[in-house]
Amino acid sequence: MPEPIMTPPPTIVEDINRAPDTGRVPDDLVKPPHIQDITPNSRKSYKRGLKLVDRKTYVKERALEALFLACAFVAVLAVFLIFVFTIYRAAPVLTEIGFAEFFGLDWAPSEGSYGIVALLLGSLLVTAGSLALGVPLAIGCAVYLVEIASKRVSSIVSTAVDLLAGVPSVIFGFFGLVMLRPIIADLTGGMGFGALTAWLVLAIMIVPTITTLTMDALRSIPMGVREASYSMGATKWQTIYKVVLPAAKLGIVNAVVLGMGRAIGETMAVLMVVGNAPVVPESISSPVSTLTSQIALDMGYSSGLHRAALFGMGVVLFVISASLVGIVRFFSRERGERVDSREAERERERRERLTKATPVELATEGPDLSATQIAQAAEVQENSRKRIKRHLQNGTSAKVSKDVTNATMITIFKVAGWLATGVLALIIAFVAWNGLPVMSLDFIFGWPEGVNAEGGIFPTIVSSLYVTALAMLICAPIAVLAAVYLAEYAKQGRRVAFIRYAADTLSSVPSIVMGLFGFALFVEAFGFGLSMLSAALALALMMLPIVMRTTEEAIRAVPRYIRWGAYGLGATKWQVVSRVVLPTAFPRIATGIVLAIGRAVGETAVVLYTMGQAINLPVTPLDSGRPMTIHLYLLANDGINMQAAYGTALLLMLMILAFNLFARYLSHKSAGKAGGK
Amino acid sequence: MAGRVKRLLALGCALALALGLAACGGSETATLTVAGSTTVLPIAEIAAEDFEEESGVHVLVSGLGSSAGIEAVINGTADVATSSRDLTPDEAKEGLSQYAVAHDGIAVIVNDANPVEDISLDDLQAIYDGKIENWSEVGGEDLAIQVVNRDEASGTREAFRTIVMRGTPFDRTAAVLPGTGQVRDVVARTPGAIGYISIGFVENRFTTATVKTLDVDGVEPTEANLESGAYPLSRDLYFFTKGPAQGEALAFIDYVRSSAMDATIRDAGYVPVGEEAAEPAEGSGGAEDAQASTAGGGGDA
Amino acid sequence: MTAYRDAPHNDPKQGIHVENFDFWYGEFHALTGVTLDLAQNKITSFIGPSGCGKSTFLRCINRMNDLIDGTRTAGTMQLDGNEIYAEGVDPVDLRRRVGMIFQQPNPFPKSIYENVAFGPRLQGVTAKSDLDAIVEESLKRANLWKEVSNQLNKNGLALSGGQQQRLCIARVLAVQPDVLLMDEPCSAIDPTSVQKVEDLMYELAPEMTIIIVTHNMQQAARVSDYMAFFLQEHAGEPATLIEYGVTGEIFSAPQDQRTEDYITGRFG
Repeated sequence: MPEPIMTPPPTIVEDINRAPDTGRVPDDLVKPPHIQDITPNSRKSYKRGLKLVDRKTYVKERALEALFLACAFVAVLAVFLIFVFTIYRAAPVLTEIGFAEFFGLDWAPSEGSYGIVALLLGSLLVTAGSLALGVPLAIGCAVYLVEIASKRVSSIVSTAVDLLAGVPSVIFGFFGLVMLRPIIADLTGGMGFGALTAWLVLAIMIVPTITTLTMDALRSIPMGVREASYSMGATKWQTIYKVVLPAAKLGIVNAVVLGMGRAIGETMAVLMVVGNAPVVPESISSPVSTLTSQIALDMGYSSGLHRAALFGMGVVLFVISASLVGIVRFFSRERGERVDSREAERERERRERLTKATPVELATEGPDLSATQIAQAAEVQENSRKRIKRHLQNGTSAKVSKDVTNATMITIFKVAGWLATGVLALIIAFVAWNGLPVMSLDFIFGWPEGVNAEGGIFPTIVSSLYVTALAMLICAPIAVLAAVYLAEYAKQGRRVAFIRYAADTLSSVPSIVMGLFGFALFVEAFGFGLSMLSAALALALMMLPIVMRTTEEAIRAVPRYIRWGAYGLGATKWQVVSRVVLPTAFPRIATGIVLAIGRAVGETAVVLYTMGQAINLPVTPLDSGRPMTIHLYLLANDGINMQAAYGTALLLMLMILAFNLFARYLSHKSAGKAGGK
Repeated sequence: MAGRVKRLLALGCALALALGLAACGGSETATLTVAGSTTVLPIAEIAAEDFEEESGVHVLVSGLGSSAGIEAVINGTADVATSSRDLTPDEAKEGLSQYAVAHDGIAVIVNDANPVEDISLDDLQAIYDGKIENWSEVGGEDLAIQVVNRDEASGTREAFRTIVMRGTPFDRTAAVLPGTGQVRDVVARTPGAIGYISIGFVENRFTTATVKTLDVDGVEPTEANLESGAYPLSRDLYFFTKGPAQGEALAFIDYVRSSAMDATIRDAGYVPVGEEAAEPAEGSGGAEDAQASTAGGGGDA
Repeated sequence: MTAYRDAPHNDPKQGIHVENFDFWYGEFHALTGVTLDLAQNKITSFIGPSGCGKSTFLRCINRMNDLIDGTRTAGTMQLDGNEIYAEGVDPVDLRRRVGMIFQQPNPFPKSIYENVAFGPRLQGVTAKSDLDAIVEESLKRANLWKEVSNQLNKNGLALSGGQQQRLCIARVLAVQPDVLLMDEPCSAIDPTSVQKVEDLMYELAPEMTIIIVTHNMQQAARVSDYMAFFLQEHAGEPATLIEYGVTGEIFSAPQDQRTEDYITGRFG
């Protein structure tokens, strides 16, 4: 079976509570036979015989399954719509601009040139550099936190990294613009706008993402595997390098690809630091532009062919991110080392049959070995031991002693861990230091006034919370039910693979493309206008795969035997799901939802052109508004009232921090309830 | 335990409710949507507040850029567009009415350390199309010129393009910054940089870093030179409506052009056009008429 | 006080010698006052109810507990006359000499061949011929060769539980430790495989000191020459060694009442 790409891979090594190989519950276990196999053709009940399936139950179970399937298909539908709709709006690119010119070098809409190659190169340049900087740092940091740091340090730092994974991109952009750009400018003698600054900002941004995912992958490797390695006399570095990292390889690749997706799709942070010159840059410190930032910059005022070209760029971004997903899916399918296929299961059973000893063998091989047998065994052992030892002696000690290598590598990981932590702490300090003096009740509950948005930011807070709540109301039920379908009902097969692929693709859609799509479909085609509803729908699509994934994982983490217990008592499938599985998984589901809320609050590019920017206290879902992220972006761009920008950034960060801490609290509480460990 | 699942279902109901609300939303008090230029934004926002207090009409102001505002009025998303430039020929075909609300000058700014004091319009053009790349070519030190441009949504850029570039395209390798304050900040920090911003933003109480303005063709960018028309880089700030303004839109525009707003407009660094400004010109009549009408207003002020 | 009957006594320069050994997990005092010599090239079983510290003690012998934060030891634990917990002792090297088999079979997610070759590679063996020979020899010793010889490139996780455990044993044999610690090696595998693992222990014992922790009294009686009974009498207090001696004698005539209670099933 192909594995889902963007979902962290199921534990490669077996886990007590799961089927040893597949990491998921075999279908025959979750489908009680009385629902699957018997048609309700007779309602006769026998006094002492077995009752046949009740039609009502049967219909209900089937209807529920259909509902869940429908929810699961929302992701497929969304991807399809985004693709088709963006292509539809981009059609003039083909009919009027022409393919050749669209893939030309000149981007000058005011002069009628719509070539995107310079922008495409800009995107690739910015992404490649940020990965080169960020990936080693992130993996080093994750290894340090999981494998090396003491529990205390690890829990503190990984909490920080977790929380920072939720920091919105607009704050990173703000940090890059105000803090990093002047430094780069001084170092390079230029203005500080360009690929170099973007590399640093994006690297800082993707580090928490890649770190947390890599940590998940590392943590999913059972302790036993490490113990085995240590007990063989491997050093820490040897264990990390030869056992842990290879075992976590797929998860790490996933983390890197997610990081790459985030870098290439990142809009706001890039927009604020690249300098937006749509040319092939002369150097890494001269202004450049990317597909995403150009869309965000031009979307507001473009019209006609120019706008079509922006949608064309959206299609290009969509295709890039979708093929990234596809490539990695293919790549992981090709790898023969995965052991979660049914084939392996069958093979195992076959071997087991083959190697099953006969009773006679058992009798003869019993512990009552005769003295001669033991003596013979000793002799064989002797020889064997000698032979092995002889070969072992051929081992040569490495040029650099294992201890030196070990110490060096451990230090490198430590440095990576502390560097990442230090940079992230710097950002928090930067926002807090500058934002705290602005904080006051008037700032939080006041209304922006005057030429430069002095006063408070209350309406933007309300707009942010409003749109997020609305988005989650739309997204959460669909996502949870879809996850129930994928985890409990679906048979592994093409349909599930297809839904997963769609969900992965959806989660990889760059937020600015989602914004474009939201604008085209919800704002214009559905006529919702620039409103809370338009923005919430676009946000909901953005959050759908995230909540789906965390929910599915939560459901899968419910041990098999808990389900068996319920089936054993005669529960129907829905009863098992609704009364046993979901309640057991609830804390983790809730954690996932709360984390998604944190992310939605920090989302900028999606709402930039779907909500409008009017400072307004939204009442109905059709009202326009300006969320905190956009407010911060506009203030930072104007570059005049930076005080308000700092204050907004701080409040935004505190809010997201609160959601994330709440999520942690939820998961801790549930862990406590389960009696620890 | 099952309660949680019920809660999930309750969430679903709430969703249905929310969508229901969305469907019947739209009944509200009188609202006026104003969108467009970031340059005009400060004036429009203050006007909106005061006007709302006076008339009870709710005014929503957003600064998307002049073009976005005009686009929004053409397609009906906004009632009033604010703009720091004239209509393009394409836009002029849409039947918009034009109302001048203030005069503005565009200051050419350089770093304080730059010894250059004066620049000709032609040299400015050559700098912005990339032909002149070093300050020594215009009488300064041997220092590479770092050109800072505004984004295309900016009315300031559009006015600069019309007055300075006169048909020559901008150098595309220039940094494009989406905000006045950013341009100012970058120029203040970068020795070789040149940029242009609205005169109103040259002196700013929010920032400590300073920039230096260049005389253009020997004329200093002062309010007097602006009013007299001697300073070449000047433009008007406009409001547009689809067809002649009516009702709340008209009341709002009249309010902005009334003497009540003069102080605010001066605070923001512009010169008010005055109450006695001429009647609006029909957009279909072409931009020239509007120009004439506002020019008259400027003369009276 | 620990009761000893015919407990082995080592030459101090040979084998494992433990004296007055204490162990803490952070604040929690897990073990106290353990004193014993482990019989060389014999099988010793550690028994006792859950939480009695027998596994903890086992993991002290190759310092696996170092991997847990905040653990602490006191007393003497020597291997061939060298203090295991002396400052500067490399636990990595120690573990090459004191191998371990775990309760849950834990092959690496690598091929069968790579699993067995892992240890030799760590020791710098690079020649294919050497590795091939070691892998074959070790798998043969672990009685797994016949079953897997034609699919050495298969992932170790694709084997059955019992096979996985034998693979883990082959993996340890490939580095030829002097001492083999087995932490409930048979609790997670099927009876046929248990049989095979026990046979294997018999075959290995003449050359290797084997220590097995088990909950299965029959197994302890079947396989071990010596037996050590651990018990934590009161919750919150450290566990200790109650009785140590020849297996058959402990079963037939335990000296300590608590040992008798446990063996006859009165608690645990």
